[in-house]
Amino acid sequence: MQIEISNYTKKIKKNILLYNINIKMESGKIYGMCGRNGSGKTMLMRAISGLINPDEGYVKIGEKIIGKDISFPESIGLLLEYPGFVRKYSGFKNLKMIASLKGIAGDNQIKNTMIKTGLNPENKKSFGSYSLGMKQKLGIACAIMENPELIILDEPVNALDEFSIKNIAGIIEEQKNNGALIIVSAHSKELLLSFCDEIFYMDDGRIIKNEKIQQTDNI
Amino acid sequence: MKKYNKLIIYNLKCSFRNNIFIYLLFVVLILLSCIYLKNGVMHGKSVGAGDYYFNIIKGVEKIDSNNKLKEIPFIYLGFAIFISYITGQILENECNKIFIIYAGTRKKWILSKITAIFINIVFMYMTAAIICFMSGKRKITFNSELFEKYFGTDYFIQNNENKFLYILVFFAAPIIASFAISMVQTLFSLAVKNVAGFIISMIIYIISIFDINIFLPGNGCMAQRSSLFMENGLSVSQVIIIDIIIIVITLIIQLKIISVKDIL
Repeated sequence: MQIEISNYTKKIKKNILLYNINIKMESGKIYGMCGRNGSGKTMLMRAISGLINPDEGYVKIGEKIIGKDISFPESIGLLLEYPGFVRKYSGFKNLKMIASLKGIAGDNQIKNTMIKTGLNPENKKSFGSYSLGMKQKLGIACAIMENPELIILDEPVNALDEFSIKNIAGIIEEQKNNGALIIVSAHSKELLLSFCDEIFYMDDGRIIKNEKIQQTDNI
Repeated sequence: MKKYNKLIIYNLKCSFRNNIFIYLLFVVLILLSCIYLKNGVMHGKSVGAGDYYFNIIKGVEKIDSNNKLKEIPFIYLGFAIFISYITGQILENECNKIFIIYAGTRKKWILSKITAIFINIVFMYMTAAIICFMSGKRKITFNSELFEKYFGTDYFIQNNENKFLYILVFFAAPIIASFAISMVQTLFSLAVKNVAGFIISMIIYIISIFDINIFLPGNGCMAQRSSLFMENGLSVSQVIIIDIIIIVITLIIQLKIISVKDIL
């Protein structure tokens, strides 16, 4: 899979949310988005997932333009802002319902994914009573359970402890090794440096710098 | 098609699971209206399922010549609030961002929501009908004394041979009318905000009380205003046709809106 973002600009009510974004990404790599609150990281992720339409430019996935040839990327796992699930269902039941839409991930795969992210699939506790960290882990599990070709994780380590952060970083690496194209955002540059292949620094809806990282086998 | 059906089921499950208390309240409203009719009005005398159900969907009688509203149509307004509320709940959902992407296309996503809204409306009317059927001890009858004294309609064609007209007035017209209003609500929810859609929906229901007008869909939800129960009442077939036109027009606009809408 290759993603090409070309001259992408998005305005809402005269506010420039994204301006002249030009990026190329390919499978088997982890791309980081770094910047302060309101820099445009989440908006860029919305653009790639097809949730917003550009005023100028386009996002192309393979040969298909989002919003023109396809509405959304065909194989995508997404964690955007806060994880949203049915409050009264358990974590497993929520994932099962979502997985049933595409019919790719079976019960065992869902359970294994939940265990990987540090959740107990047998836990009958409803999503509404999950802690913030558990909600985040469920969101990550949802994004990766079908082993999609494109994984977008918006600040996935929010509310996670150090051990869980290392665990999630390992999961992200594993998905990369499976050939996925992964886009991760975070406030912390240090975290992104630990596993990203390239980092884009954003401010005021613009990419101000990008940095290619030479990864050592630390993880 | 399979994915589309799953989307509809998801929307319905979500709405029911998150609002089970509201559905129970709805059932209580129907039961209370049946109890009131039996004990408060008929003082324990025999009441048929037709009477119970008519009491639910009658709406309010025509405004008198002084333009005064003689009674507040509590059940009509109760239906309006329940249907509008659940419509809003189906539209606004925590999992919308995931599901719209998993739906594959924006069109499929909104059509699944609309279908779920329609099924919900049918469910509510059918629930009311079943409760009335059981309350009337499974006898589908009408009590003419009740109609003359309480419902205030002296135009009841009791021996009407056209039974199909009853089905249209009692079921088809209210369901299609409620759906037409829900479609207008959906349109405003997509274009503006969910709360705006709810407000518009309630405005339509309330204005319909004060104007017997074929172009106000709320009239379709009031059986008492049909030509079956009122002299110079509204033609049920015309009401249904107008409501279907409203549904089609709002659907076309919604599909256009969803194709360009930013999902934030």
